[in-house]
Amino acid sequence: MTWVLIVVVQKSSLSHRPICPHVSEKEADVDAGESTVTFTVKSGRGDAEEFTFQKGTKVGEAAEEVADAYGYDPDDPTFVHPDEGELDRNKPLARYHLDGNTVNLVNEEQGV
Amino acid sequence: MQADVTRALVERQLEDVKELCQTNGWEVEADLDTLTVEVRMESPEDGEEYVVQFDCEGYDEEPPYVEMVHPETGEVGHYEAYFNDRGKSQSLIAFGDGREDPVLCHQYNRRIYEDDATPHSDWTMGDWQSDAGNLTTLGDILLDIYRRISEPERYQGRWDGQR
Repeated sequence: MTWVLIVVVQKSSLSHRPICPHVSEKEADVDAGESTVTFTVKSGRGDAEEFTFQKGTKVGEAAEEVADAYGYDPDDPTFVHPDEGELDRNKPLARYHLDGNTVNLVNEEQGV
Repeated sequence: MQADVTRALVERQLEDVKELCQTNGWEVEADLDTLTVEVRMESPEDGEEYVVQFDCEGYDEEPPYVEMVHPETGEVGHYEAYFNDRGKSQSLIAFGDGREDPVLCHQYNRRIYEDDATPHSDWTMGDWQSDAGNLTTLGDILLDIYRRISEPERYQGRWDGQR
């Protein structure tokens, strides 16, 4: 007798997993349809890589992931867009026009 | 010898700065003989121009001397060359000899250690790299300044020498 094992994975469960940076745009689209956003992040140390996140990801969460990937000690990081200014860490990426754009990574630094 | 080391380091970091210029519409001028770098940037909030000047002598054993340059007159350190980021706490702007003598108050600025009129006489220049956290390259320092003029709650326009 031969047993056949069928595994069913609901697509909805996949769409909620975090999408790591460096995943290709094609892979991201397969996983999450149009719910992702892809943009380039530059740092002050010459980093300039493309990242893909789900649009519902908060700016602060995405920035922390990028800061970590770039070797910074994340300290409430966020992004500065050359047209839109500093992005609110508590808002989702979908709030901004980021797809295909380039932003700057900045950390919250001390002051007086 | 140190000047050669500094020159090579500044030259490398200039490439990163040029990348940031391309993204953000900044302009950079550098003189590798005098080890000075100037970057002109614009606030996304109100379009005001600001010019950041680095004197990199001794960098990176010592931090760069960072000043603001008046975008029209070219005067170095004039209060109107500065921005007001005191809209909320953790501002970068502090004062030396009064409100008409603003200073970029961070461990990455050599002026803080050399100018007795500025606050934080307890800071030690030899520790600047560890104390400055993420801000030890020219590019990171520029982005720190850029964010100060890019956030509406923090940025209050050009410094008027009074508030």
